[in-house]
Amino acid sequence: MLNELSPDAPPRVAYWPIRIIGLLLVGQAIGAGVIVAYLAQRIDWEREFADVAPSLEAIEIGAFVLLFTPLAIALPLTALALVFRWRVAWVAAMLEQGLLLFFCLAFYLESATFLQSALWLYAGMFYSVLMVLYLNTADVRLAFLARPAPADPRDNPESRQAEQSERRSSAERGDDRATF
Amino acid sequence: MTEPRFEPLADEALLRRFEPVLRFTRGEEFLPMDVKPYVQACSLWAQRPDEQPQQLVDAAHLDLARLAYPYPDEFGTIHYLQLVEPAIATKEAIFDHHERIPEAREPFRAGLGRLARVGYGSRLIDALFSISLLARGRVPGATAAAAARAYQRLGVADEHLYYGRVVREGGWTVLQYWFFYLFNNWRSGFYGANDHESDWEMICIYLAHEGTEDDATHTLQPIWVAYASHDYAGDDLRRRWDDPEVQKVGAHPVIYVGAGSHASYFSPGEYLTEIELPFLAPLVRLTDRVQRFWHKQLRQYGGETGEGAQPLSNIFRIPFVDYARGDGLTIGPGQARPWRTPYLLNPTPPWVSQYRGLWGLYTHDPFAGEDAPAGPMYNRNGSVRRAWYDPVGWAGLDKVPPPPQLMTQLLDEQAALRQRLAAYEAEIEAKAQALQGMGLRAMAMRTQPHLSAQYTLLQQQIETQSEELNEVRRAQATDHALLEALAYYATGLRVGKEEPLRAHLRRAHRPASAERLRFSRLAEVWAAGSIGLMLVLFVGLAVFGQQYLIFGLLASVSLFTVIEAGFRGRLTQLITSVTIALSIAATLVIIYEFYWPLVMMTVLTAGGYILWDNLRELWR
Repeated sequence: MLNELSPDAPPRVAYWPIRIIGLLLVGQAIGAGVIVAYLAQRIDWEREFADVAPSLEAIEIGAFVLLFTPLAIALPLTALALVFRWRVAWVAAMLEQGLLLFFCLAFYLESATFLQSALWLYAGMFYSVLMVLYLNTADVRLAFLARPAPADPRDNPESRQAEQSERRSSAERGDDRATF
Repeated sequence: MTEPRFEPLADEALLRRFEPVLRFTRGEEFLPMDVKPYVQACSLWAQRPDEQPQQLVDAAHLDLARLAYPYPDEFGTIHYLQLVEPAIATKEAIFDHHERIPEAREPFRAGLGRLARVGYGSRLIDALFSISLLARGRVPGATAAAAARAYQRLGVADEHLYYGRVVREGGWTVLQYWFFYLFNNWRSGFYGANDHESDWEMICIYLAHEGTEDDATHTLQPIWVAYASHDYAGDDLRRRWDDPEVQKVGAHPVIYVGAGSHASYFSPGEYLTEIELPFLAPLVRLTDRVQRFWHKQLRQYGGETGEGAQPLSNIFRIPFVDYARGDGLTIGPGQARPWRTPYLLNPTPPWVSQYRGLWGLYTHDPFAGEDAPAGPMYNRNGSVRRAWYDPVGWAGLDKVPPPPQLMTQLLDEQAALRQRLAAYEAEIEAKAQALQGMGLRAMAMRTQPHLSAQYTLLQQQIETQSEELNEVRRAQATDHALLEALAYYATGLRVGKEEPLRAHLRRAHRPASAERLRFSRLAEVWAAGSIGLMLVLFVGLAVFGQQYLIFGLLASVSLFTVIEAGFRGRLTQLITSVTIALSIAATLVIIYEFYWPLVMMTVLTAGGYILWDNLRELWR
């Protein structure tokens, strides 16, 4: 049987993408946490602090730990906010992906140690790129940002293309604007 | 277009019956007037290629009859009128405030500036557009004031006239109302795009007969109305007469006139008009394509569908506000300022048909916005305006049959379809029979080696015949579906079902809503000053801190962008855009670092998929 859709019926929003994002964020947090822990234990911090000046590697790893630890904590919190479907959760998730990408790119461009070409840095970037693409898909955006848009029956959604072709053909005819 | 029947009395009565009411914005200085005193105050000039302009007729001798003289000239010559002599414009511009028409003495208040309503990119393009005015041709600064003075001197500020024309085309009776204004001071008076001497504006009312010819109620009734307005064309220009958006005083439609621009609107308000610069068109197309790829191929979010939603390419258009508030004076039947007896353009007077030049100063503006317009019949390049030779097609009505013809045309269309279907039936029968005959012959030939060449030829003919038969059957199926649709539509018409009021609209004129105009004063100050401030900062960095130029620029652009997004309530959009930009950068890095592994992985994945797919088929 065919369902007749009422034009006034609100669009159906699927909530399963939210759960998937929550899981992906938790996975990302675990990954970030593991890397932070792995890097932190690579350095003999007592010796580094005892020296006149810490080594470049220690400085960079210190910066990495300082930058990524808050993110590793924020990611599961965002996943939790997602469960409660808070609107701010989507923005927070996007912001965290932005920060992750920014930090990874900064290390890739500026690092003078092994961090510059660490494989997990690229893996982190790749994971974040996929997350950004997924977060920005129409399904996910609608699940979070869907609000009753002030639909105006006067506008036809196919307007832009048709309007542009009309403008072009009018220009080809050499017609002046209706008024200018 | 059928040749207009000249019925002066009937035509004038029709025009007067539906003549519009014009509501202007407070501060408007120029009102519809008679062209005669204007032309008498002008001189006629010719601008030949690579020459100084030459005066053909001086102001003391020019009139409408002389304007219609033929002025043969070489290719590329532009004829134009000149009201205000640029050399004396400044002197003339010292203009006593009390010389203005009383309603124009009330000062115009712009309210929220246009710049606060648009984004940073548009403001930057706008700044470049403003700077370009210094280089390209434009109407001199004092001309608007001098024109206002000339308008008062002509003594026509209290006499309002329109030019009426009745055209009968495609079953429609079109009433055209042309309005002539002495000057368009949109730029100098109302922060708009352009100024030019003279202005021609127009609206059309489309009438059709109601009832049958023997019926007592067989009279012409208004069905559609179309107003000329900036960048709108075709269907978007018109509204149905019974649309609540078409305001009326009795049988007279109300036009809200844009301040200075004199564009026509159905509702009062402030309209954001975007002007597209021709040289930016390739950039507009490129951004539209990228945006389509982003949304369709990558299935990314298409943005809000609300009022604020704008395509990315809009940043290459320059925003201007057209103020059509309707809070100024009103001209029209039953108003304090009524219309004078209209001047009929049936038959077309020689000053309309013979004079193809501009009706005011030619400024050499490459965008043509500052050049005066040509008359009602012509475009600036001398070709005939569509609104003149095809007023029905101009408003997109050429595809709409007038109501009395609707059912007849529908029945005709159904009859033609049935006839075509019958023809298809016969054709299919003949072709099918021929094809079967061919098939028979092929079967008979298959075991005869000496007929091998003929057999090959016959096979080709069978393929062609089969394809042709398929085409006819497809057309038949399509026409069957169309016939059903027509029958359904006819049933609807018989029970009085009407087309939706606005089904024809693709992009409707809409004034800015109160919600969109709710910006703080601080946001306006920011919008007005941010681009200039940024340029000053850039120079400061270049002079005093060259070593930090790149970092400083990045930091200042980032800061400005965040402030801007904060003012416009678009921080979420900013975060999304920046994150997407970072993702693109990260993707490029990954591709750069892992080019070969990525290629190998792609090939491996494709190979694995094919293997899996084939094995699955094997196991079934």
